[in-house]
Amino acid sequence: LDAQVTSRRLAPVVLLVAFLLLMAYVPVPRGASPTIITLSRTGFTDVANLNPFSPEGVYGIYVELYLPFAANAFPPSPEVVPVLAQGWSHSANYSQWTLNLKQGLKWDDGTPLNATDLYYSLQLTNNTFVQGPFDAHSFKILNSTAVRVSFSAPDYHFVEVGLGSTGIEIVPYHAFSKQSNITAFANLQNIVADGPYVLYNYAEGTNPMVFQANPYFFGGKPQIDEAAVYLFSSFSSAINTYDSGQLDALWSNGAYSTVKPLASVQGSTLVQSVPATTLVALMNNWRYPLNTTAFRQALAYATDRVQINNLLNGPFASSSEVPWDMLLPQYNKWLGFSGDGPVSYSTNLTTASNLLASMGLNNVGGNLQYANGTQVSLNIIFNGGSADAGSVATLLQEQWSKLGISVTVTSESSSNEAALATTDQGWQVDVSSNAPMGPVQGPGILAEQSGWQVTDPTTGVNVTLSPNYIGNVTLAEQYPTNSTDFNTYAGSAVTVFAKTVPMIPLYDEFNWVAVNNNFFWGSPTQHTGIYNPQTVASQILWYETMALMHPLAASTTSSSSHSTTSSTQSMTAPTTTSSSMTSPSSAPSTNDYYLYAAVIVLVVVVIAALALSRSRRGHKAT
Amino acid sequence: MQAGRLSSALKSLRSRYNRKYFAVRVADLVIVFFAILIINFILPRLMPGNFAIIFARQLTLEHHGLSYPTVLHTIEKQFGLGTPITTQFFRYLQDVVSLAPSFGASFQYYPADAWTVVFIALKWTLLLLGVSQAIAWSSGLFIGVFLALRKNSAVDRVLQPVFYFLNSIPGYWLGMMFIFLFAIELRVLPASQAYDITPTVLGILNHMVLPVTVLVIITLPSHVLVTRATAIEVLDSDFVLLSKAQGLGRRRILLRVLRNSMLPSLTRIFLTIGYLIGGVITVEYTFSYPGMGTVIGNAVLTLDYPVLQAALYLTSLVILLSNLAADLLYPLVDPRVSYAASEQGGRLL
Repeated sequence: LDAQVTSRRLAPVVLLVAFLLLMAYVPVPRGASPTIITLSRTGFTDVANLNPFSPEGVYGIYVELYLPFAANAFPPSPEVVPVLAQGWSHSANYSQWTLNLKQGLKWDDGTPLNATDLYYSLQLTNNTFVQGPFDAHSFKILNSTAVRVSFSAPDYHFVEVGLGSTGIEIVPYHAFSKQSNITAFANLQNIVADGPYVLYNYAEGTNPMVFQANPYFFGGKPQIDEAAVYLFSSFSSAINTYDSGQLDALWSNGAYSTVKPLASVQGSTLVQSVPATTLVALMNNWRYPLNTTAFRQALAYATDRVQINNLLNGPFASSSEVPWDMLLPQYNKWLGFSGDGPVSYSTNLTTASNLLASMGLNNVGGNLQYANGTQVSLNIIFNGGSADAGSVATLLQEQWSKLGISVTVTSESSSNEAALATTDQGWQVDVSSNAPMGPVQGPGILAEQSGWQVTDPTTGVNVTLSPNYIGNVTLAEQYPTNSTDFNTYAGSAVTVFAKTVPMIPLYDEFNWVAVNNNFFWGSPTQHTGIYNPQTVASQILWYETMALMHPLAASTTSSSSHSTTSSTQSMTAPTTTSSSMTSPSSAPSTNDYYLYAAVIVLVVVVIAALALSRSRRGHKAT
Repeated sequence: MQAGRLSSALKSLRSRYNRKYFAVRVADLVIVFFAILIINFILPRLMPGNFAIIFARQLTLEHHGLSYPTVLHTIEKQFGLGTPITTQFFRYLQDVVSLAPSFGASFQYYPADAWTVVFIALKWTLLLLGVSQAIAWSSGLFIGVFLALRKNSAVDRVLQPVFYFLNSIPGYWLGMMFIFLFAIELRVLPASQAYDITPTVLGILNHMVLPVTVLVIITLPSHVLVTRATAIEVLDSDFVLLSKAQGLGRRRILLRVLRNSMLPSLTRIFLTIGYLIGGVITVEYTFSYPGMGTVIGNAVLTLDYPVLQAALYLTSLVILLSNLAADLLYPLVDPRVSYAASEQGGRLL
């Protein structure tokens, strides 16, 4: 039999494949006239809630929309910097605080952003469990930009901890007050916001989310018209997409080894930004032998942090070093310590062995044994989803084995690791960066170290940190930041922390941003744009990319004069009275129609191919 | 005249089925379906970890100063995770066994309904699967017959090992290679997502090319090899010889060969729908394509039980129905198969 007929029958398939291949070379317009920048968010693919006061609000996105009153920052900035704030003051005994907003602030719909919004947001914060609570007993609007907050007892750290550290977002009273059940409000339609880039409506399942420049942004209308934020479920896919030129910027955090592939992308710059969190070996000090300080100290002496840091952070190792009390070196100096903190455990196996011997543990033929002859063993768990934790756990296994300890390493799923680390069962050491805090920036937020949770199963009390530590922190909080008493108690707290080794801090994981060189992203010397040390909210989730990048210009320049000009322009007061402001588009176009159209096009191509095939056959028959 | 034809077609259909077989087959399906419902509840909960703990940790991470135990308690209450597992199970059964099955709100995308999350993704998966399988199956059929006609020729001897090789390549690996080659090195195709910043027809088609090509390449070989093997048998059969002896034209003989060779391939496409949905998961994840694969992958990572249950329910239902369809359609495609003569099942006449 001849294959002629088969070949003819193959024609529609060949045509369809050819059509798909043709698609590869059809230039697809990337947006119309507006200047668009493409960014990325990893970890999720859908957004269904943008309400900061709902537990389900997607933090990584709503922080773009709602700016806080004040935010934490890293040196050289002060610990707390104003965002919407003009300033703040307190009564002599710190029981009353007056918060002042900047003049002339507006929401993206042109409505004034004033004391009513601040008052309403503070009340919501005080009354909902979602935001970090502060125990204010009353609020009072003083004038259009000022609110007074009163406490029944002095609150010395209200702004730096209560507002700055928690990054409480101010929401529009005229939009949110209409909701009868605030925590059930999804906030996806007719969104009113004040960030540099805003969403007016969002249809679930739309990816990317296309943000518009806010004409009323307090720093001036951003120079880029639109920012398209792609949601990625996998980081490797985001890296590939960035590498292929589809993205203009990619954010990440972790050790340098995580972002190393981004360092070699052509036409791109990789920037190490503010610290994100600290990778630690967390001890389960509820169970023997880890409930013995000498044992934990022995592990500290046996740990070669320099080797681990060098292997994971390569050229950025020196900036990733972390003191044993986990404070930034600048803040250690506040407390009268050297930059390394109150204690240092230089790698010393002899000291480590002596500490173990003092506990009655014997090294028999290279094996560490309890008095009854049982081998001493340790199990290190780590989050299997973390890029670095596995490598670090293996390095620790290697280092601690030198003491004669039998060390095993177990990979756990992210959820299981998180679940285990909040109880006293099923683990001994957890290599984790999945902690509810970043590096402790300054003495004002020392209390955040209590975020490390290992809970006594009977009392529910956090047992990771000693009562002595917690007691000192509580005492420090009774005094204003940087006062003599505060520094004394804070110094005692961090000394206890470092000496009792509830965890071994290994290195600081940083926020990283890879940007293509086609845009001006800010000035490293002026600390603008992506070089801004301001975190706006929790530094571990440094998602405030759009709040930080507003000084952008749409063209490349390396001259410092341009960067200065650019950032200066961006901070110019906005021309909010202009009547020529165009209304934002009302609703996003749904992708469904395009999907259906694509299917129709494919079907039409197949039908056309079939028809062509039949007509050829008919022609041949005649 | 037309009424007569219709009546004879119906009569022919009736002659190939019997009610008892149909009833037994459907009853089997219902039993399996209920077993799936139970497994669908148990499986996600066997995964290590607890959504409430993850969510509580995330919230305390995002908002410093929150009390972890309070947040945990509130979340457990809100998502019904604090109730005994038996209560959760009976509530689940109550919601699922209804005319409009409900799996409740997604944990990860609350307050969006789990069905909504799945259906938003389903259309993209169907687009990928539909286009890729249409290409893979139809071209597999023709290539298979083509190779059978040239059995042991040079082309056959070269292409067979090539298809065996392609058959063993994992989709995600091929996806990564394609991304590296076409998106990163050549920059002619997008590396991820379903469309550009604004959705356009061209954009959607453009973004489909790489994932569809990967899916075609990983599924085409099995269709080719199965069809080739069947076609070789068919070509050796008596009816082909008879057809030749009757002096039938090449095209008519080839059509008969094609029709008889497509049966195993057709059955295969129905029976492997589950595998295909499984296979598409890794491809979608590689390309960050917003389909079921990505949704299921995320739901596994975040322990989003409602979404997992909705997705697995839908997948199971599709597999069950497609298996049933494959069984019931067989007599229509192959006149030798009939379920009418036997009370126990089908038979080959």
